[in-house]
Amino acid sequence: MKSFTIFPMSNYKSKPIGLAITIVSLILLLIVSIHGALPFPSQANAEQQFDLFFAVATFGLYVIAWTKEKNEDERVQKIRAKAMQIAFGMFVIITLCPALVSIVADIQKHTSAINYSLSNVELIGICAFILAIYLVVFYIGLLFDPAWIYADDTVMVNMRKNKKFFIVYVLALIVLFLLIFIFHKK
Amino acid sequence: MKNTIRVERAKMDITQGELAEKIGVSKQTILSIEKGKFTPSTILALKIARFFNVKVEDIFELEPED
Repeated sequence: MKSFTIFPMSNYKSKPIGLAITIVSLILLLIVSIHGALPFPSQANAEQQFDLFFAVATFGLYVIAWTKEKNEDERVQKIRAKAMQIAFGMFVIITLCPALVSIVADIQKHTSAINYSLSNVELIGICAFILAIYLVVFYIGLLFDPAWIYADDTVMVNMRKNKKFFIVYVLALIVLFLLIFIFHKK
Repeated sequence: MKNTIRVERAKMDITQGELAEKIGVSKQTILSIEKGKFTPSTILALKIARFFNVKVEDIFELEPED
């Protein structure tokens, strides 16, 4: 059967590479946040280095996210599809809601110009946040409970059935937001 | 959907891991199927049935809510 894909997934051996890229970049990011510009790349100031290492760390998350599991069977693919769906839903919400608020505010001010621009860090931040959400949801589903499978039930039904998952998910989100807050305070 | 994979495994005296390896899936997938948390595809169900040398309907049974 012929198949078509735009973003093929890489072999599971790429995962350590993605992890290494992410961890090293985050460490460099932390150093730049605390101590200022590093000697390399010498042409970049602290803010530019921050953006660069943040982008590289996000790329590392992408490499991890687009790597197959060692045993990529149908259960893994189903969990992956559900995690992608949840991450994509989050992406729509965090991009659409601020834009709608801005549009409504502009309409109420009776202005014709919609002035909503994102900095490099904010753009990369959205990408990194969505990748992190996907990875958290995917790996919780895969590893937290071997018998886990996401069901197409309502949120309340899922929460009742899987209390532990939602506690871990909320904790993971809190850690994510804390990391964003810490790195943003530079 | 109910299934009798655990019973069939016991008859053949093989572990979840060994079955998973023979079928070509992860041990967690076999565990998920046995617990009724994951419904296998037609191909996977046929592979499991063929491995145990029984019919698919002898291993998998629809429940009223299905």
